[in-house]
Amino acid sequence: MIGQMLFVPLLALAYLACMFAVAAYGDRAARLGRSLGGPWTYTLSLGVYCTTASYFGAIGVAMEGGLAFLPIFLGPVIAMFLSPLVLYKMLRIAKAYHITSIADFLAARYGKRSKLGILVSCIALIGVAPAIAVQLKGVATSIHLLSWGSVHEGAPFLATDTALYVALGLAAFTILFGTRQVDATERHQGMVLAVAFESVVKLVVMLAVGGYVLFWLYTGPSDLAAHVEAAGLDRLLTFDGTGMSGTDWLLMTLVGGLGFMFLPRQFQVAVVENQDPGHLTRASWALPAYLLLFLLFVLPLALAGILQEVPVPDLTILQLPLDHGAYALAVAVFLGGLSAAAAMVVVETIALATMVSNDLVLPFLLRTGWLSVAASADPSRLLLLIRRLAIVLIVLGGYLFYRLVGAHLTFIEFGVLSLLAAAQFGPPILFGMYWRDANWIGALIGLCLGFAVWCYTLLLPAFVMAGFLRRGAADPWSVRLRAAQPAQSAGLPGPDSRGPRDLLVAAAQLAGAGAGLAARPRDRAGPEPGRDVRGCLVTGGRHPDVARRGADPRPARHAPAVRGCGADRRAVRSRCPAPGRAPAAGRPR
Amino acid sequence: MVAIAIVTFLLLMPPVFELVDRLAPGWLPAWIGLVVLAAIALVARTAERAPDPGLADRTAEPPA
Repeated sequence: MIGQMLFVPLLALAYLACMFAVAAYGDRAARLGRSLGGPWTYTLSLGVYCTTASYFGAIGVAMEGGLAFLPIFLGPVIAMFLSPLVLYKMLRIAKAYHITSIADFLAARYGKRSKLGILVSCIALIGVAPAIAVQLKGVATSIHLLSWGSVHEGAPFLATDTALYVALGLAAFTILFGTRQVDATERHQGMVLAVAFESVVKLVVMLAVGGYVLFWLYTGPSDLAAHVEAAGLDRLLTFDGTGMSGTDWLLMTLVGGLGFMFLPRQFQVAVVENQDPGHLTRASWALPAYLLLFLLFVLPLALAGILQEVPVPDLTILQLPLDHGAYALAVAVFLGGLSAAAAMVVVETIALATMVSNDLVLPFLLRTGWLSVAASADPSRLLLLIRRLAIVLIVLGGYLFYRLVGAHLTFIEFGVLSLLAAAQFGPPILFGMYWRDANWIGALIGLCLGFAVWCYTLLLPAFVMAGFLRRGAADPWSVRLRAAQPAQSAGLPGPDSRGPRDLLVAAAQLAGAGAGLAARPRDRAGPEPGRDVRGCLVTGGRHPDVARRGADPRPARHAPAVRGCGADRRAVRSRCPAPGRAPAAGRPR
Repeated sequence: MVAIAIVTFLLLMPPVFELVDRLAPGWLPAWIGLVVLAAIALVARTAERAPDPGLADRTAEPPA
C-alpha cells in the first residue's frame, strides 16, 4: 500500500528530472552556440496553450455540452492563420525594441508609459492565479485518483496536502529551470526545448487514450456511434447540444484567439523566445494541425465517459483506463497531465517573474533610491533573487486560489477565467498597432474598466459560490448589469452565460478606448504616444526615421524615448548578459 | 492566408452549423474537422511556398 502511494510521487519526480535533463541539454547547446530551436520546436512550444485545463477539462465540457469545448481552440487556429497580420508584426517590433514581456510591449506601444506596464503586470499577476490553480488541482487530483482510487477534495492536513507539495515542487522546479542565470534577451532555449518535449508527450498520450477507448473498449467509431445512438446522446453531436447561442460561440472564439496571443506565457514562447521570425511560417499551419490532433478524440472520450458513467467528468481521461485495468496507460495519462502542468507553470511564472522584476520591483527600487546602478557591482544576483521570490509567490498565489475556490470550479472554468483576463490585453495592443489615434489614457481606462468587469462578473461569483461572500452580495450590481445575472444564481458561468460577460468586458474596453480618444493627451508634455513603435506599421515594420533614411533598416538608436528608471533598468539588465549573447538590451543586434 | 482565415471563420459560424445539423444530423464534428483540415492544407501550401518573411530582414542587415 505504501509502495503504491509512493510510486506516483516518485514517478512524478523522475519525470520532472527527465524534463530538467532535456532543458539542461538545451541550455548547454545554447552556451555552445548550437541552435536547437528550429521551426518544429517553436511550433511545439506554442502547444503550451494546452494546459491541464484543456487536457482534462475539454473532455469534461464535452460530456455536458458536446462541442462547447471547441471555440477556445478555434480562436487560436484562426489567430495562427492570421499570424502574418498580427503575430509577425509583434515579432518584428519586439525584436527591434528588445521587448521582453507583454507589459513591456504594451507600454512601448504607447510611448513607454510605465503606468501601463505596471497595470498590465498587476492584471496578469491576478489573472493568472486561476490558471496556476487548475494546474495544481489537475496534478493533485490525478495523484489522488491513481494512489487511492478516489478524488479527495476536502480540507487537508499539512501532511496530506498534495496540492501544497505539488505547488512547492513546481516552484522549485521553475527556479532551477528558468532562473539559473540572467540573460539580457530573456531567452531560455533549454526551457523551450523542454516545453516542446512535453507538448509531444501530452499529444501522444491523448492519441493513445483515444485509440484505446475507440478501438479497445469499443470495436471502432461505428460501434461507439451505435452505442451513442442507443443511449440517445446524438444531441451532443449537434450545435444545439452545446447550449450556446451564436453570440456566445463567436465571443468565446474571439476570447480564445485573443487569449492565445496575449497570455503572458504565449507571448513568452511566441515572441520573446522566437529565434527566427521565419519559424512563424511553419507554426501558422503546424500549430492548428497540432490542436486538431490534440482534440481529435475529445468527443469520443467524452461520449465513452457518459456511457461508462464516469463520476467526475473532468477526470474521464484518467478514469477510463483505470476502470478497465489499463494501469500503465493511466500512469501515462498522469504523466501527460503533469507535463502539461509543469510546462505551463514554468513558462507562465518565468514570464510573470520577468514582468514583476522589470516593471514593478526594479523601477520601484531605482525610484526610491534603494538601488543604484553605479553602486551595485553585480545586479544579476539581485535580479535573480527578485525573480525567484516572485516565482514562489506566484505559485503560492495559485495555491491559495485553489484552496479558496478550487473545489467549486471545473477545470475549464479556471482556464476561462485566466483566458478572459489575458484577452483584455488584446484590444489595447491591437488598437496601439493599428490605430494611429489610440493613446495611453484610452488604453489605461480600457484596461481598468475591463479588469473591473472581469472581477465583478467572473472573480466575484467564484468567491460567492465558495461561500466567502454573501450570496446576495452581488445583487445590487447584478440588477444594473442584468447581463451578468448568473453571478447571483449559480456562481460561475456555464457555457450558456459566458457570452454576456465577454460582451461586457469588450464593451468596457471599447468605452475606455473611446474615453481615451476623447481625452487625447497628445499635446501634453512627454513622448508622442506610440510615436516610436506604432510608426513601424505604416513603414512596413521599420521605424519611421529608418523609413525616411531608406537604406539602413535598423531601428534608430536614439528613437525609443527611454526615460527615467527605464534607462536605469536597461542598464541593470545590460550589465549581466549571458556569455556569447547580445551585448545589451536597448541596442540593435 | 488572410482570405483562408476569413473563409474558415465563416464556415465555422453557428448559422452554418445549424444548416449542417439540418442537412446531415450528427455530422457536425466531421464538418468542423474537414473544414479545419482543408484550411490547414491550404495555409501550409501557401505559407511554405511564400518567401521566408525573415529573409528580407536578415539580408538587409548591414555588416557590423
